[in-house]
Amino acid sequence: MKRFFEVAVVIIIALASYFAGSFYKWLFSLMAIYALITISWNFMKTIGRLSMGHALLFGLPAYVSAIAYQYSFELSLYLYPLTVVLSGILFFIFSKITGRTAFVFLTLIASITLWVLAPKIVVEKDGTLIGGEVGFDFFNASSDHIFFLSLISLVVIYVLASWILSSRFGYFMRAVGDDETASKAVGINVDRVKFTAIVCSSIFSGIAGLLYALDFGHVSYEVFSVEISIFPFVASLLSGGSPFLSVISSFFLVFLKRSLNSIYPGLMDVFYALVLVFSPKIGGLVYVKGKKLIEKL
Amino acid sequence: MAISFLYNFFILSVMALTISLNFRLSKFLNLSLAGFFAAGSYIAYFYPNPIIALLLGALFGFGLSLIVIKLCKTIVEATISSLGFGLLIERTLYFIHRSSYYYILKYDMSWLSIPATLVVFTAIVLLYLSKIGLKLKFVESDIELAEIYGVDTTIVRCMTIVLTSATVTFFGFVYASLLAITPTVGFGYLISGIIVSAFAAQLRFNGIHHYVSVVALSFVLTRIFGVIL
Amino acid sequence: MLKVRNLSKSFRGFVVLRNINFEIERGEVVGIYGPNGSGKSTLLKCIAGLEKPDCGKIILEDRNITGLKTWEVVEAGVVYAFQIPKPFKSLSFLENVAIPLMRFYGKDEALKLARDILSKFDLADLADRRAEKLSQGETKLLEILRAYATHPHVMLLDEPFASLDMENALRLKEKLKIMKEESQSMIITTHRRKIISDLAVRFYKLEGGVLGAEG
Repeated sequence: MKRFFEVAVVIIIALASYFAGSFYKWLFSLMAIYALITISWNFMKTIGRLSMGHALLFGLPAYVSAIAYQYSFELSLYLYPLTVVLSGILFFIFSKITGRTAFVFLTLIASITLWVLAPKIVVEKDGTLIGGEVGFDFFNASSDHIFFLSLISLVVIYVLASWILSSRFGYFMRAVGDDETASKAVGINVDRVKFTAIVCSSIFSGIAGLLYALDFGHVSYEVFSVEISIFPFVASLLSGGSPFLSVISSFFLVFLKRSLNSIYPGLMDVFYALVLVFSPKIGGLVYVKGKKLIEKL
Repeated sequence: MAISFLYNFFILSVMALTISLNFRLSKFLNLSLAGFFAAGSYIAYFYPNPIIALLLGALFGFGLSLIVIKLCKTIVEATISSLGFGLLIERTLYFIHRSSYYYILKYDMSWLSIPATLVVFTAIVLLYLSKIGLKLKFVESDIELAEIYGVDTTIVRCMTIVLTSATVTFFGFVYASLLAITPTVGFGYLISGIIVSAFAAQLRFNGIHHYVSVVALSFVLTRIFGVIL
Repeated sequence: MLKVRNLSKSFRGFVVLRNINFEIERGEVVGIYGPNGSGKSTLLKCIAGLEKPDCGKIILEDRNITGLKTWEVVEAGVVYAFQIPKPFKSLSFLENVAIPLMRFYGKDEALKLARDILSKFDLADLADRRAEKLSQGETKLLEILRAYATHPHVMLLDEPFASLDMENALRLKEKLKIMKEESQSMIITTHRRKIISDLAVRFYKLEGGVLGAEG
């Protein structure tokens, strides 16, 4: 019942955006895409791994796909799912070789490294050099297609993620997130749980990245930007950790970005920066006040 | 102007040393150093006075130390706050940087990196060989135990952040003539420094030996890779 | 049922366990006592798969479980309870006890079985309390019940009475007696033999990594 209500809220917001005009229709698509990143991030956080490099999972499959697209559509189609899985495997390897604290740093460094290196990637096509800072063109879907694809993806992935988290496997994920050693001691195959959760997270993010690329018809090194890595952290922080409210706060942040950046370009990044600086206090405040509010309601 | 091997080695080693010092003494990964480096480069363009770079860097460091010490309880919280602080500085520079072109300096102050690097190396060695060095080793091993045994860890953490911030801002100032100045100019050096620092940490040396290994690894990595990330 | 043969373990050249040999039969409670640093925890961790022995064998019902991963040892039927409890803090007492059952049953069935276990041990009032809000004694009970939940072949209890006051220690002992009456095999380590003298049928003394004669 609760999940039905949550999905209904998302659909109502979508419908309102659809009929409000083409700008708001496009904005909702972007909101849905960013909400998918947040869902993916929360999914990985459940197993105790706080990622500050989700831009890698978001951007790498789309980026590789876009490079392949310069040569053939089929190659692009094959490489996309392969890169999604390989990105997930990479994050799993990170989780094996590091503790929880070092995982945060390693994922951040990996995504910033890609962000720094990507502008240097140039390929030759028909005697012309393409890529670099400009990036690569990609298949451009119509705004209606993107709207419905992003809405359907959001609803399906949100329901799927919620269902997994409330299932037996979800309990195992939470146990692993609390204490890996104790999880092993009660018979949980911790590696299997972590691998499955991370690959699922990678798939959710990868879908978001693909939708982003289809929406803009172009992929550049900005898909690896720090802003995308910190977005889900900020969205989750402002929602007190509630999965549904993380989706709503993702919507809010995308809307806020458009509003603030229309006042002055780059103003939203100042907002992000301030949230990060005061995140130790904001998280606690939102959690305590939010919990009281929810209990009152 | 292409950066020579020696200049690359200097900046990489100083960046890695400041990252190591922050991690071992202030107990967090200082991600705002990229922003400080960029700020130093901007100061070189608008107010070419190295003293201003040092003072502004120290001020940034003091602001960051207040946030880290007062607000943050864990290493992850402090690291994320420092990332936000660095982004704030980067955004401020972005607002100053109104055009889409890079800033290029007309004069060269990169020669200052040679004495500056020697000062940094010497200062660290002398500090660790002095009486203060023992206190620093306590803090490196166990900050809570050091506090119990009378070391003012708040001062240690604060001074580490202030001095490393001032150093990195100064090096941003000095290297400005060798770079195309943009708000994100410091990120490549930050990442390279973190990689060197992480490798050095695996060797599990303590005290001054760790910092010597950082410098040695910086030399090796600059030699192998030639250019910094 | 469980046999340990010639087990040895050292850490960085320091020998912690030397040639350990002992057995436990079905339904038996065996006590291993010894001073701090004698290797009691290490012995149990080697059996549980949390540490890898340098040499030796651990045989459970004719199956060699030496060197298996921890979850595989648990699947075989040997479960370890930590000396310092490790509850899943974001879950309730009930959910903590249900987690091991979820390996065999669906979520709802596992929660029902866990509730039955809590009722059997008069702990139903703690069911919905989050693990992070439990007292030390209650956390210890949680740790033991979580190990007991799937009725393993052998429970390895690492100093279950450590850091407990008299009241909580007696409370825990009552629960262990109930388990003993159900023929639950247990290996219990402790500093002092006296604490488990009415629980264990056999005793071994572990000192300096050497397992002494039965007491």
